[in-house]
Amino acid sequence: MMKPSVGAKSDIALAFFAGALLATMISSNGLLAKYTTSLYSSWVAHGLGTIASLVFVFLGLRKDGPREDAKRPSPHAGRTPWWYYLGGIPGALIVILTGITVNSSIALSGSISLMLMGQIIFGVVSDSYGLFGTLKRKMTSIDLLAAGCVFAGSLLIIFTKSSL
Amino acid sequence: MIFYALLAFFNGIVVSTGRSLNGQLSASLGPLKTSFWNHLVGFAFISMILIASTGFVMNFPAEMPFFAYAGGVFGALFVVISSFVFPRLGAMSSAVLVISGEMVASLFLDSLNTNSLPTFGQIAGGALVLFGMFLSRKKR
Repeated sequence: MMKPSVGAKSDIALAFFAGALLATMISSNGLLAKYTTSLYSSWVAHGLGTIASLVFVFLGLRKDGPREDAKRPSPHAGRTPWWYYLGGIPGALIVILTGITVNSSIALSGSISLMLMGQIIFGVVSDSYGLFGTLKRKMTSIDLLAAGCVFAGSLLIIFTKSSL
Repeated sequence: MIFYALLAFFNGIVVSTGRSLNGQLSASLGPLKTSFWNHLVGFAFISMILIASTGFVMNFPAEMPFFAYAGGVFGALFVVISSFVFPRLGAMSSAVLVISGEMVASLFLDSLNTNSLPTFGQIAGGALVLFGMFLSRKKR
């Protein structure tokens, strides 16, 4: 439920913009990959992103202070498992792979729609086995319908593009 | 084409995996620090691969559009915006809105690159994808 807070409409616009920002990010990384290589593109993106995110950390600390961390008590009594830090490895792989697929016949929109399908299928499978600490949930017909819609939509996007 | 389609589908699984790991880290560190570690670890990882494979010798075109280098900043900026907006809208609405923005923008950006508008089929496809994603979120 949405809180009736000030600027709720601007929140909606911001979230939508954030999504557009993601697509733009994939597109720009893809452009670099096209000029150079996918590996180099991911390297540059993560390098510049390290600097940018470091700047944001310092800006954020000034604005939020410890309040941000206080909202999130660690479930590990202060010790974060080391393998939580490995998220950067799939992250690196994501940019490498999009660098390849957005420059192929499926382009940006095909890449994104198929990636969304991968996420749905992964969610359904991991739920049905209760992976990653989620409750076990058997696959339902709505799951199939959702995945089917995304797949059909992906096919439409890829195969009905106007020919050059 | 099937090869690239499978690659993109597999990439979706990679996205879910990365998101799980980062989500866990974010519970301890918060989204901004998590974003920093995510970028740093990724950078170190690729650096090792680059050193091992090419020894960092590359011949690249000298002239490259500025936009090509902006991806890293866009990604870090996304984390900042989403960390602000997601608690205010809730997980379900945020996810639907972000995915909608992604889908619409991707069709628009592709049309810029091909100098042609999205076809009716593509717009219908985009709507179908959004509907499917909405369905998949709703049941959770």
